[in-house]
Amino acid sequence: MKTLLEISQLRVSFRQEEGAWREAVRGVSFTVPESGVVALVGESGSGKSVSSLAVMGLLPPRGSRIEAGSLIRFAGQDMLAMTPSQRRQLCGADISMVFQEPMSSLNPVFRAGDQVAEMLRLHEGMTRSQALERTRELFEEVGLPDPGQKLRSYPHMLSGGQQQRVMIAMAIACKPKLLIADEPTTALDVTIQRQILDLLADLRSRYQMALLFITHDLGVVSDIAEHIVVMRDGQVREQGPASEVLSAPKDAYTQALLACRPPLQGRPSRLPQVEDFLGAANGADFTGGKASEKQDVQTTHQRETVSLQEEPLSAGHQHGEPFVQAPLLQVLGLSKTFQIRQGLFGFRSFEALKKVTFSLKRGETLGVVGESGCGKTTLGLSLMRLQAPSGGKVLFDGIDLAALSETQWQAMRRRIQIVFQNPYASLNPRFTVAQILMEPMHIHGIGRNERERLDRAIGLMSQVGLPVDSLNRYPHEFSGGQRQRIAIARCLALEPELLILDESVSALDVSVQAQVLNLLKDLQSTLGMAYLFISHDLAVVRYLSDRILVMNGGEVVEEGAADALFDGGKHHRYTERLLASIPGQHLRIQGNPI
Amino acid sequence: MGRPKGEIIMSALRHSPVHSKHIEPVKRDTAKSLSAIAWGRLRRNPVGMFSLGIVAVFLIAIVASALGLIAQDWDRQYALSFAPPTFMGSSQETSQEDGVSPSLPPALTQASGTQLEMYGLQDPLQPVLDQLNSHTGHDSDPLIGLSAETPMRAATLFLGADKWGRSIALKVMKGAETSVLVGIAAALLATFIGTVLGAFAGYWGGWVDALIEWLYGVFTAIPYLLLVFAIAAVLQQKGVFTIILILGLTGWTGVYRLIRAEYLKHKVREYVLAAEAIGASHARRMFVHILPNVSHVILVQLSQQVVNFIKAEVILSFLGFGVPVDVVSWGSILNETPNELILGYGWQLMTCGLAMATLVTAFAMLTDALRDALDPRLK
Repeated sequence: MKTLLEISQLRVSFRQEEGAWREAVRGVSFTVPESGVVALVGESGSGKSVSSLAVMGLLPPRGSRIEAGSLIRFAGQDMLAMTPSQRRQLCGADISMVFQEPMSSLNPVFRAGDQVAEMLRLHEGMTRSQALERTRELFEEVGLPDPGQKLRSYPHMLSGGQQQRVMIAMAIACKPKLLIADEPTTALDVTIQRQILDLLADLRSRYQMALLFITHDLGVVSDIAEHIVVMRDGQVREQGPASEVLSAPKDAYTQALLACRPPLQGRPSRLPQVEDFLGAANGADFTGGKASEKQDVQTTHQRETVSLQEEPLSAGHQHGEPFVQAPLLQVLGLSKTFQIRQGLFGFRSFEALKKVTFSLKRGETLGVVGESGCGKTTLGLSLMRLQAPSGGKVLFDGIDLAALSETQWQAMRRRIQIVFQNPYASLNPRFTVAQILMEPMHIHGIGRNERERLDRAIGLMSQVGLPVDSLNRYPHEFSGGQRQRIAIARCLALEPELLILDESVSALDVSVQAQVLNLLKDLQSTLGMAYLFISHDLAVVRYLSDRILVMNGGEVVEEGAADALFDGGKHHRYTERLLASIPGQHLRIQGNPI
Repeated sequence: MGRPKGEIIMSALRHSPVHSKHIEPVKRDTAKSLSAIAWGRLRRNPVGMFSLGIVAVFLIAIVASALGLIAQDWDRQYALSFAPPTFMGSSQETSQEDGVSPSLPPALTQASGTQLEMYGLQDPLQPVLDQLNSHTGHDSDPLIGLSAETPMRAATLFLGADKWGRSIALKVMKGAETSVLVGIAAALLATFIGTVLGAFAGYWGGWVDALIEWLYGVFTAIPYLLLVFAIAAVLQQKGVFTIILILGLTGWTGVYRLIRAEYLKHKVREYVLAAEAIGASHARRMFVHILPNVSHVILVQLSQQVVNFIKAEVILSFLGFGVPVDVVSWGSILNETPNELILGYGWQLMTCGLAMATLVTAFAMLTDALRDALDPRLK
C-alpha cells in the first residue's frame, strides 16, 4: 500500500515559562498508508495530540517549534517546507481534522449548515446554494436525522453526538485523503461513541480516506484501527498491526496499558499497575516533571493485614456476600425537579430524578451507572444536601436527612463524604495540602490541638500513599492521580461511613485510574466504608461494585448484583444497549494472558 | 476475603516500614505558592519590572515628602516670578538691570515701558502710581518691580518657578503627594466597596443580588460628573478627605461587576462544593476559599483604579471641585496653567504633565504586567 503520510524523527519543543525549551515530542516516526487506519495511543502528556497538530500546522507559532531534522511528508510533499498559504490549501481540502469537544469546535453564532457550507465555498468554490445543497447531502451521509432542519439549527440546538456528526460532515466535505480524529468520542456517552465509531469506519471505506485516530482508550482502538502506534512521553514505545500489538504486545508499557483496564470478565482482587510492568526505576524515568505516581499504598497493605484479624466483620468481605446488617442508607422515592426558565416569563420543569429508591449496607459498594443527563450526579449531590430534593426521603442509619436542622446536619456531615470528578477543580489552589487536610478537622473539632491535627494529616497522607514530606505543597504541584488521593484523604479526615464517589476516576489516565481504584479497594477493606460509586464507565463500576444501579432519564431501570449484570442473560433494554456499546469487546473476550 | 492471605503478607513484607519510608520526594524542595509563582513571573517581565521601579521611585519620593524629608519648604519663594528652567537659560538676565521683570515677554515689557494709548481716557490711578514710582525710584510697573527687589531670588531655577517664584520641582513633588494619596486611598475604598458588594451579590444571588444590582444600576445610570457634583454638594466641604470619599463612593461599580462575576463563577466550582461538603460555613466559603482565588482580579483592579483616580483627582481639581486652594495637587497645579500659557510660560505645565504621564503610564504598564503574572491558569 502506498504511504500517504510519513512522519519521521519529529521533534516538537515548547517554551517553558522560564524561557527554556522542553521537548514534548522526541523523535517520533510512523507512517499512515493510503486509506489505512492508524491509531495513536497514549496517556495525557504522551505527545500524541501534539504530533497531530504538527501535521495540521496548528501548533502555536510562538512558544513552540519543530526541531530541525523533523520530516512530515504528505503524498510526497514536504509539509514543513511549504509556505503557510500552501499549507492552508492542503489542510482542509486534503487533510482535515475532528476535535474532541464538538461544542467548542463549532462556532455558536453560526448555523450548523452555514459552517459546513463555508468549507465548500472556500475550498471547492461553490456558490452558497450549491454548498448548502451539498451540505444537506453530507448531513444525510453522516446520519443526522432531518438534515433539512439541521442545516438551519444553531450548534446549541444539537446534542453532543449530533454536533460531532456536524464536525465530521465538515471534515469530509472536501473528500480529504486523510482525516485526523483527535479523541473524537472521548466527550461522548458510550452509546453515542459506538455510533460515531461505526460512522467513521463506514465513511472511511466509502470515501477511501486514511484515518489517523488519536485516543487514550485501547478498547476504542481495537474496534477501529488496523495499525497501532503506542506513545509515551513523546516517544513511540511500540508500533505494529493492531492484532499483534493488542494480542501479543512486546513493550512492557503496552502490556501495562492493556492490563490496567478493569476487565469485563472475572474480577481480579487488584488491578495491575504500570509499575508492575516497568519496574520502579524504569517507571520513574517516564513521569517527567511531576512526582511519579508510583508509590504504592504501602501503609494500607500493612493495616490491611492487621485489620483483617481485628475486625473480620467490616473488613475484607467477599463481593456478592450477603449482608445481614440493617441498611446504612435508604433512599425512598427521591425526586428532584429543576425549574428551567423558558422565554421571558415561562418556566419548564425538568425531572432529574424520578422516584429513585435503593438501599446501601455498611461496607458495601453500590455502583450507579448511566449516561450523561441520567441524574446520577444529581443523586450524589442530593444525598449530600448540596442540592435540595423535591420529594422523597433519604434515611441514613435510620435518620431522615432532610428533617435535620443545620447543626444536626453539620454533625451528620462527618459520616457522609463525597469525592468529586475533577481533581484539578476540587482542591482549593490557594491552600497547601496540610491546610486542605486540616480544614475539616478544624471545622468539626477533631484533634485537641494543631500538633494532633498535623499528626493526623501525616497519617492520612501515608494512608493514601502520598509522601508525607509534601504536606506544605500546593495542589498544582501534584499530578492528577495524586490530587485525587488528596481529595480522598480530605474525606477520610472525617472518618465517614459512606463515601460518595462521583465519577472520581473518570478524569484520570488509565494507569493512574488503576492505582486509585486499588487504593479505594484497600481503604474499603481497611476502614469498612460504604461506597456509592457513580460512573459512566461500566467496566470500572463493575470492578468496584457489589451491586449496580442502572439509571436512565432520572429513573432506575435496573438493579442487581454486579456480576449478574454482565452474565449475558436477559436484561432491561437500556442495560443491554449500554453493555453492547462498550468498545473493545472482542479484545476483552479474546482475553489477555496478562 | 478479597485476596489470598499469602499475597497480603507478601505485599506487607515487600512494603516493610524501612522500605515505605523511602518514598521518592516531590520535585522541588521548597513549596511554591501561587503568589510566589506570580512574583517570579513578574520578575521575568522586563517591562513590568521597569514600571514597578518607576512606581517605586514615585512612592518613595511621596512618602519622603509626606514625612517632611524632602520638599518641605516648597512654599518658599526661591526665584523671580516665572523664572525659567536653568536648561532654557535666562535671556532676560541683562534686562534685570533695567529693573524690568526678567520673565516678562518682550511685547509686554514694551507695553509696560511706554504709556498705553488709552483711547483718550485718563487713568484715574495715574497720580498715585506716579507718586509710588517716585518713592521707590523706579519707573516701571510697581507690582512687578516689587518682586525684582528681593535680592536673594534666583533668575533661573532647576525646572523653573511659578507665579510666586516657588520651585516647580518641589511644588510638583508636593502635589504628587496629594494626588497619589487621593488615588491610592480612593482606589482602596472603591475596591473594598466593590469587592464586598460583589462578593455578596455573586455568592448569595436571589434577592440580595437583585438589591445590589439595583443599587449598581442607579449608580451607573447617573452621568459620572453629575454624580460627583451631587455627592460633593451633599458633603458640603472641600478637602482631600472629601475627594477620597467622592471618588471611592462613585468608583466601585467596575470592581463590583467583575467581582460579582467571579463569585458567580467560583461558587459552583467543585472546590467550593467540597468545602461545603466538609461543613465549611458560608462566611468561610466566601472569604477563606473564594476570596484568595479572585484576589488577582482585585489586585489588578486596585492598580487600575489608582491610575483612574489619579486622573480623576486632576480633572476634579482642574474643574475647581477638587482640593481646597491651600492644598497643592497636580490638579490644582494644572488649574493654574491655562493663564500661564497665555503669557507664554509653559514649564509648569510641562513638568507637572510629564510627572503625571510618567506615573500613570508606569502604573498602567505595571497593571498589565500584574495581570499577566497573576493569570491563574496554571499548566
